[in-house]
Amino acid sequence: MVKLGKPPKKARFGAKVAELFELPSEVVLDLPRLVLTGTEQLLVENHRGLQAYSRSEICLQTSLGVLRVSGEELDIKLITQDQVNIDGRIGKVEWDARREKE
Amino acid sequence: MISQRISAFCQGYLVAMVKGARSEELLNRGLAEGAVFWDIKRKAPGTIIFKLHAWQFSVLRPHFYRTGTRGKILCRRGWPFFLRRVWRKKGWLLGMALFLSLLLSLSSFIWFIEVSGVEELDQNRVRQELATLGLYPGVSRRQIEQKRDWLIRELRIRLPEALWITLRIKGVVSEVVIAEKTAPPPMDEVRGNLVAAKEGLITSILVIDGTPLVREGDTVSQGELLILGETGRTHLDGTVEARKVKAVGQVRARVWYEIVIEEPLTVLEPKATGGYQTAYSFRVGQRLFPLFSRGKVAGAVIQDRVVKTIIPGRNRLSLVEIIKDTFQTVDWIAAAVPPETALARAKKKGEDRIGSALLSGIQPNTIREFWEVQSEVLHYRLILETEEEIAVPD
Repeated sequence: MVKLGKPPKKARFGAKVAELFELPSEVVLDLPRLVLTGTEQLLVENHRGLQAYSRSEICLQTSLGVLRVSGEELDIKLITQDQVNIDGRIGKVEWDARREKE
Repeated sequence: MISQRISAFCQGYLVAMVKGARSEELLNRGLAEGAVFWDIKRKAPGTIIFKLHAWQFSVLRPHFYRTGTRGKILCRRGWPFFLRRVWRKKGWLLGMALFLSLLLSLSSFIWFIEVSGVEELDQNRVRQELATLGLYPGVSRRQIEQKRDWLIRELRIRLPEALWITLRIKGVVSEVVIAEKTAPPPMDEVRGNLVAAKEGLITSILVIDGTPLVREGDTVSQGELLILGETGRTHLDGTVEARKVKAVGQVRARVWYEIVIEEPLTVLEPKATGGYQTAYSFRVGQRLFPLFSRGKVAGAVIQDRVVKTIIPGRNRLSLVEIIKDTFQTVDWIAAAVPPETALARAKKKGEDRIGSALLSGIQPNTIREFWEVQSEVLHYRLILETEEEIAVPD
């Protein structure tokens, strides 16, 4: 399912720099950061917008593609320009490259 | 999260609804403009309910048309909206202000006075004294707080039965805690006389309280009244007032003790006749088991016991032991005791009995001894003379 391909040259260089100087890679490489607490809460930082929202599925646009969160009774507790807090019974979190292409 | 909610309440927020197929796009456009959404819920397909700051709703307005959605404010919440609503209802506001001011003014008075800690004292008397000093239901709390120390001091003067008094003010309740003095028992209960504990001849008398009924040189018998628990006071008009007191004083007297000892001059002594029996037994704890015996005896016997401990117990009584009892038949033969020997024995017994006859700390001043022989018995008599305190409470 996760088929993100080889990162571009610039990204690879950035990753090496982040590793060398022990810098947070989500800042240097502009990557999304996910914090999943049990199956109850999910915090996604550095997203690029809400693509779809229903009680059973939430799709978020990120720099790596679409992040699909599936589950039951999903609610967005807070959404700002930088982060999304999702509550509910989270069953699956997956990257969906297909949606990015669409 | 909680700080965000508090901030939203203080600034005022809206509960809004968006209808349309592109409602997510509307949220994204709002996010791009810097809006923050929370508690987002999808109520139905194409319908989203969310909350946002009141001032951010105007940011969304141009995007409703562009995304083909329709927005609606469901509810306005937060402090600014609450104030606006209240401000519109002038009558309610006035009533609230009146109620609060009434509550404040009424709570600045003392309405209840609680008296605790009193057992003998009458509560009504305490309340009366408090009212006289200015503490009564309806008095201003500030007034009492200012003169609290003075009030306690004055109340202590007015209530001599109180050991200490505390006054606490809790809201509209004034709590007075009183610790009462433990009064000494009444005089009728402690009054008493001093009587003679022994017979004797009084040598000295010292009266601290009460009326003496004997003098030096008087001979008193046991139980005789020495100092009466009563004093008389003569007034200027000649009348005498009798007062019951507890008699206190010292009465010393010469006291004589007599010790009589009889010592026989003929005694019976056992003499073994030859017959004997040996019995062995086994003892475990408190139970005695006879094992076997040898010989046969009849008549008067003397017994000799030898004990062999096998297992010593923790206490003095051994746990397991073997006992050997030897019984011998005897004849009792009369033997004469020389008077000197009998006298020595009697003197020894007399010395032993002096200690038990006299109270501790009292030494005899003189000791006189007499003896005589009457019908094979030596009669020995000791007369002790002491000087001691004989007055005791009746």
